Amino acid sequence: MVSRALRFVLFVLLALAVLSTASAHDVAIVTSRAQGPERDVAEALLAADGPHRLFLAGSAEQGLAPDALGNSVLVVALGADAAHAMLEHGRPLLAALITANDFKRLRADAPQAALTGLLLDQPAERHLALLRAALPGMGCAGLLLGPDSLSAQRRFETAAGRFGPALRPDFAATARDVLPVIERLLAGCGAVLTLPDPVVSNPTVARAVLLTSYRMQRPLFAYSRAWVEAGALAAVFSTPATATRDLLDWLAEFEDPHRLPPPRPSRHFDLAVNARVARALNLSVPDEDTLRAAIAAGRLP
Amino acid sequence: MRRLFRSCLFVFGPILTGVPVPATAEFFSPLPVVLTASRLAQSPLDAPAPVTIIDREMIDASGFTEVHDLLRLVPGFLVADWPNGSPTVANHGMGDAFDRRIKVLVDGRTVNDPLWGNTQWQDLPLRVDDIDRVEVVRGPHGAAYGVNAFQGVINIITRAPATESGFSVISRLGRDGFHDHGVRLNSHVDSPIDWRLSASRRGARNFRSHTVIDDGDVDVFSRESIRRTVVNLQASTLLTPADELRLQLGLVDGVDDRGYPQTSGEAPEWPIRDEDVRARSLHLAWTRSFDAGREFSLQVQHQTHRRRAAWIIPDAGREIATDLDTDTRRDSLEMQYSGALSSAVHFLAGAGARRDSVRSQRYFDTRKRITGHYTYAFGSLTWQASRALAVNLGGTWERHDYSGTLFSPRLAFNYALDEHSALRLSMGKSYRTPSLIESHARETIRHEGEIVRRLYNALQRVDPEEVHHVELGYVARLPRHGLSIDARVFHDRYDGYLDDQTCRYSASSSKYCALLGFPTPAGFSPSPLSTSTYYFLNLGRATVRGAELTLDWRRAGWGRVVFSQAFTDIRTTRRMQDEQVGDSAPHATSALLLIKELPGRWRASLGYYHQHPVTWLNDGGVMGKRDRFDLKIARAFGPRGSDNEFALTWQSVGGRYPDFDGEKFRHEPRLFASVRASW
Repeated sequence: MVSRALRFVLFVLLALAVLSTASAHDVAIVTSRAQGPERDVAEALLAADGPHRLFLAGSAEQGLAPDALGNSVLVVALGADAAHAMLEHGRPLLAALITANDFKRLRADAPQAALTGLLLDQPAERHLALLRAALPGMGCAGLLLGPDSLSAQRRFETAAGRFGPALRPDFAATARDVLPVIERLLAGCGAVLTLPDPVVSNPTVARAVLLTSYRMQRPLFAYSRAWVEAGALAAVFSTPATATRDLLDWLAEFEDPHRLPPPRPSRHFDLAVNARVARALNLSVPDEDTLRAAIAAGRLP
Repeated sequence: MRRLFRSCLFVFGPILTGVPVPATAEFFSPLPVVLTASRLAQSPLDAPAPVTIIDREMIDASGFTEVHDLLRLVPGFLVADWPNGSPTVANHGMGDAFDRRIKVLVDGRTVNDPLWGNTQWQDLPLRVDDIDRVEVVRGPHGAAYGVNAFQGVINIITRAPATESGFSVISRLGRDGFHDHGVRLNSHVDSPIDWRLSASRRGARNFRSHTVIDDGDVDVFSRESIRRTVVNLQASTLLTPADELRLQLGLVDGVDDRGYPQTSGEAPEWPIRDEDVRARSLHLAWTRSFDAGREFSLQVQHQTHRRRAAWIIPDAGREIATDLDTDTRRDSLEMQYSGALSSAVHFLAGAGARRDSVRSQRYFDTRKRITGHYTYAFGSLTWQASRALAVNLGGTWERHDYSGTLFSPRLAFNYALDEHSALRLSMGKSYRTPSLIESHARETIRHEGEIVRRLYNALQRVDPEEVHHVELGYVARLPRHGLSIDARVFHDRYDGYLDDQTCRYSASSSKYCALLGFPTPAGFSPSPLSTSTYYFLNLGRATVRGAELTLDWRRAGWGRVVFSQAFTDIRTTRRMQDEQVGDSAPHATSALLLIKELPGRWRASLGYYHQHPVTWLNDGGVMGKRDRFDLKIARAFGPRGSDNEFALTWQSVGGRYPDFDGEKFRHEPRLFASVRASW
């Protein structure tokens, strides 16, 4: 009798446990701005099928209603401004459409918060895989670093140490230092990779960097489609579409709002090659599909 | 428009205000298209015409300090200087003192002189240090560049101000008073306006008077020294991410000291004198880049050139005052659009208008301005018919108020043998319209109201020159071996070759002008300085055939070798053979530029230029077989990638060399030290 009662209790507890883990959570989405890529990603998430009940709570730009977060157990903040605004609400927070540096600042502002991130940055290994696949014979690659991107140096050196190519990082503290640094890197290496950084890769500096790379007949690799369209040879990058897929993957794995996984870089990526620049620099670069397959074949995070 | 403004504000606003840029902006927002199709040099594999690119490394290693000298590196091109005028450049013969058959552009702005149609090389508002690269079309290309792109096109592309910053000093000091000092000031990379101001002063003795003693007769020929001050301002800014505005201002002032010394038995009409030169240019361009493949540009230019030279000709007790004063002016407007009809069909179309005018009492015997108006439209279509085959069809229609309507077409096929090599077959027709001298000249020296000399004299209507051209080329760029190959054979047929002939206003002469239907002008002095006059006419046909080869090999850490070889053969009608047109191209020319990297950041370069005998026409003369060696040794210093260097350059190691006329002129060699440093 006791044994039957015990079996029943165990069955009920197990069923509750299963039901609780498989249950759909309420997840609030907050964007930095009411329009733009954050909003596009939010709408794509809402339109997608997923295990949780997603709803748009508003934007940091326009402010949130007092009860906008409802019963949500998780807030997905799209953009750094949204993430900063959500920190004060004390709910578990997934910050997305942010960079690794954005996440560092968030963590510094709220060391104890239940916080994780889904970063726009592509892993160092993927950037370097593109360099290797695009220019297999390249002797060394320069890495242009600024104050914000300097923190990526070790990650890139570690990745380059394992997979290649030989990496030569150089640092420009201010925009005025960028030209001598890029000239030095291009003079010594077959290509240069630039990373997101408000000092060394803003639109004004981008112009000088691209013109210098062309003057010195050496290609530039970058981190966005816009750079490739502007004149970089190639880039792996996140787009609103890849960020949406990353978020959907993350939400599909999400179970316990009290046990958030650590922040992670993008798993999905897009890739672009500027064939005109390749032709003008007399470089033989495989097409985008070939490069995408070569990179995807590598075991990257 | 509002969307564009918002996008602009989003991208640039935070930068200008110092607010951190959102990550999404860094990753997802558009950037201005920098390396547009027009800014990128077209790969020789895709070009519908034979193109040589003289890049920055070649410019530096060559040691040349004058722009025209760079063309010695182009297969088939001949370069000469002479003491009585501007240096001159020719391609495949027919070269004389006025290189009016080659079109020269600086950043897309035509700089040929409205008077003669030639290029005042020493008055260009730039120095070799300002040049990023020179793209040379080694043949007729009227379809893309309009009339007067007759034997070639030289497009000089200056360094973009955005690629430099800070302050640079360039100083060259050499033997025999040679000096060339310059400074360059650049905006900083974070400036909203990219600008560069460069200023330089240079002086050189190009020719000493050359003395020839023949059977007791002593002939002393003319000399030349030049001084120039050049100021150049370039500025560009992005009005929006898609709109760029560029401004170029050029100022040149200088003096040419030239002429025949009094001891000369020849040409007292051309005594030693100072010729003051002043040139001004303004070039304003707006470019809208819709994307990497679509672009619209609008450019206006204004340029003036002034020469002041006056002297006295002593003659039989008379003192005849004359001058060579000229004021030329050009104003032009051009617009162009490039885009794609599909992924396989790209096009370029444009239109423009130009007004050239010259005032010269001497050349036109009037105080009025002589003007020429031109309107033109051009277009080209490139169809990638298959993975390997591209077809290019282009043409320029031009209306010229002297020569009428002319159409220059071109059809080219580029067939890719593989990813790194291609064959090119192209054919077309191009024109050269007569210059204002050839169409309107009345070059006159008067004394006390009477004409004592009539030199260049447009006595009759002349037709444009035309050339039918066909060529077969092979281009390979083999990056794995560091080797580029450019070879071609060509066949050009020139008709209506326009030249000057001599007749005399003297009834006792067998060349009496009146017998040709040219009566002696009213007021012609009974005791003139000379009765001869030079009139223009279309002489006939010349057929030029030849082959060219360029090998460019480089290896990082070792250096580079650029070797060019050209063979040319000219066949002419008998009348033109009398004028030595058939001898105006050397049968063979060679150019070698050897660049050797040495330890300790040293670099040595050798330039070797060889040509078979050639005759420069008209004011020039016969030149024998010639070899010239130039040497440069340089050591870089400062940060790697910078241009800083000390160098020692020796141009023409063999000493003085015959130039333009082997009998009359000896160009001075050049030995100088230089330093170039940037901060």
